[in-house]
Amino acid sequence: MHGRNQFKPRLQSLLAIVLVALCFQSNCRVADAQPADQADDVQAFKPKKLMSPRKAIVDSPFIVADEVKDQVSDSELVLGVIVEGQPRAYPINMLTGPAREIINDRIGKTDFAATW
Amino acid sequence: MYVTNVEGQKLTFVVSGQLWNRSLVMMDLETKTLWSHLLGRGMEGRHKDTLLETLPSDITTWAVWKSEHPKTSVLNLPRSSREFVRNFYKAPSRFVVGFVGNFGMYHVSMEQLLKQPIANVDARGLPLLVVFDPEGTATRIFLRKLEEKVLTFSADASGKLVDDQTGSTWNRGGVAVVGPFKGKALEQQVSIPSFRQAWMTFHPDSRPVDLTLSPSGKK
Repeated sequence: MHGRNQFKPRLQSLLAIVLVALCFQSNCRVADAQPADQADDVQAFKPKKLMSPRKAIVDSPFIVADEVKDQVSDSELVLGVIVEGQPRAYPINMLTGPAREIINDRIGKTDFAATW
Repeated sequence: MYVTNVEGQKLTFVVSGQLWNRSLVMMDLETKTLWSHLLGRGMEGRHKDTLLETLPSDITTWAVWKSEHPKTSVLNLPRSSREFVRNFYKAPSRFVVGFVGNFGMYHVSMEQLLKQPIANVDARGLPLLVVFDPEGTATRIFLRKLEEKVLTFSADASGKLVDDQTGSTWNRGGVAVVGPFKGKALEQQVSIPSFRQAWMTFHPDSRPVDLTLSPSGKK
């Protein structure tokens, strides 16, 4: 879930750039391009440091659906993805907490980070 | 869900230990760039302003995912919580599903999706199909255009997804299973389930899509 913490309302436009780029990335048409929002009052990136960087999660163990016993139950939410035709699920209850959050993974020739 | 090859280099992402607007900041070990998790964008460091490519993904229940993908692999780590089960969405007014349309970001409310699980949306010229699965609570968004033909969809009497133009029947993964389009697939778009407040913080100009104005095909 993006933004599962609470946020204070702020941040004006940052988005102008992001929108255009995202739009480009997702092949959407920008035919009669109306002017994007002005991007000059970008909210400063001032992150708050709470702890040192966590260790990378790589080479995680996986099982196939038939092997699942009590690792995940039917009603639990999973993050599901299909990469190069291969489905993979990440139970959300295995992704929470600062020691998890990001699983560096690879299917076929695609390197990706499972995060939600 | 982000592709981690950036400009030809494979990056390894970690939790940076920093938060921005109370949201996760990621760092890659190779260049130490700091990335906004929610925006998928480099904020500081060598890859500042680079956007990560997003892979479409679903959040649904294990029961639904494995029934759709019986051969799926599944991560096998000890649980770090037990909080995230289906009824996580029991306060639907707090959630939206965000997506990219023409000229910007859009969102639909979870409340409306519960009432109208199939909608033909026009995001300023971009024809999209929104399909909500009340059982698994996943929302999938597809480009409802195939072979230069814009399609509209509705549910038939048994709840199956049918396009009004050819009468083909489609599964919830956007693949035609019966009819003239059999075997063809709609292109899935990125959809982002979020807390409403978080979505509006990061995307203050996001346009709400009123599904009551986006009919689900024939009545």
